[in-house]
Amino acid sequence: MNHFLQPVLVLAGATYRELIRQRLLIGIGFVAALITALSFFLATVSLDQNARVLHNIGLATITLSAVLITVFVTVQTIARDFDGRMLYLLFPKPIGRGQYVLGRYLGVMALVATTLVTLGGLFALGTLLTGNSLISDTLINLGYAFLQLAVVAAVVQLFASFTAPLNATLYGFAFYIIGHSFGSLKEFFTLSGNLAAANLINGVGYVLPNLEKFDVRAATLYDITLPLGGVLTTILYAITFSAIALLLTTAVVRKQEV
Amino acid sequence: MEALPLTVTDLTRRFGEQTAVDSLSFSVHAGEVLGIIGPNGAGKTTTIKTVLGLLHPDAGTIKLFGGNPTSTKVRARIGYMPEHPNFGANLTGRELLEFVGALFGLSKPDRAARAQELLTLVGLPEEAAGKKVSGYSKGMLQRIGLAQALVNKPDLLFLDEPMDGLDPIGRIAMKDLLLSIKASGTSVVFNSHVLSDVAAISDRVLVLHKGKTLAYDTVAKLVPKGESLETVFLKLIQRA
Repeated sequence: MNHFLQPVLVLAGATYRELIRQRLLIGIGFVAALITALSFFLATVSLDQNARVLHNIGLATITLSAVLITVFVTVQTIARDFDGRMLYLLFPKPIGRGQYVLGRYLGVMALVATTLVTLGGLFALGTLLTGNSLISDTLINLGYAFLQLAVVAAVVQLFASFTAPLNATLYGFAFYIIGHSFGSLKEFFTLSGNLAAANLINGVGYVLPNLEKFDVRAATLYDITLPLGGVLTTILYAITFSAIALLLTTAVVRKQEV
Repeated sequence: MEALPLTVTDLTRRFGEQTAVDSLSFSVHAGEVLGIIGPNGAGKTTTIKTVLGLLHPDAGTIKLFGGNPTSTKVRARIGYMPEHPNFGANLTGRELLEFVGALFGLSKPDRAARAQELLTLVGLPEEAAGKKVSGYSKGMLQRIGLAQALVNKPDLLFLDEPMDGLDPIGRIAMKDLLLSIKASGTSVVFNSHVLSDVAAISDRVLVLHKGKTLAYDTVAKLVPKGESLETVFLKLIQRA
């Protein structure tokens, strides 16, 4: 196997195995499953809006649960390494700091994928059983949620590498909220006639990750076809921002002493 | 001719205004055991951590097998047992050793065999091997700490307070283990407050006080006949 990737994949596997055994994960997953189940109940009592209610509440719950899990486990993984002296085990071994950052990140992303597949699978099965088949909608939304969480995990890992766990967690959620506010701000400034501010927000959205690019719930709800070019641009956007965040994290970790 | 396992020249490390290690120079030859002793705060752990690249030196050079401590090729040849280990809350002892084996690129059967070999060597029974490391006693942690440092059959082994927290039986067992590692030809650098053990295990001793070298010589030259390392150490500290 490639000399660079071998320790990365070993660390990613170990990270995933450690994370999947966490009780916190079971707790968040249980609450998410409960809210998703509730969306089925709400769908049955809504008038002719079954699919819409299921679509909105179910998919939003899955995404938000995955965001919670991503932020918490990313911060916890890095904080435990630095504060808990786990790095005394890792850094004297033949694994570079960049390989360490990538290995931990891929382990977290494997957990994120498991979370999305598990919650999404249960939701899709529920829609099938209740005659509201939303399987293709679910798949598209989960794919975009995964891309979004790839960016969130990379940025939160960067925060966790240089600040206290509580700060990193708060910054992580702030990043998520700000990342979803670009569209609203742009719309506000456009409606108020302040085009310069609207253009500025648009520009900032290309420098800082604009997470609204990953929200396709409305498009899938109204059966709007997503153009292939747009899909590829979004994938490239996620990869670019994640890569930049990971490179910055590596630079920070190289300077860190343990 | 191969470079020495370890050469440290004029190593200095400061923490703010305080100089923890001050112009330290020493070397370790192949198969040699170097014991580092000194009172609390003398700079023993700082020296080991800086040599390993866990801390950055403010001045001086460190060569491990002629290379940089951060080189992965160099790291493939060393082992390190930290003073206060934390090996991951959710891993069992066996999983930890297999994980470390995987980091060194051992195949699955090889790392399973090496893990079993090391569990036997350090005296961890089967039931402990299957238990989570987070539930280990201090003695068991020291044993698994030594085992994980030996996974790659290192040419140079660093041990930070290997006797710390062990009961008399555990200490004797650890001392015997270190003597058997020495007999295998592995170079060892270790620090300890148990001076009788340091004298029994080491070929050469480095005495540190406030980050500076008080003495650096072979045990035979440092300790006159009829005296112990403890009395020599106390004289050196009182004189400093």
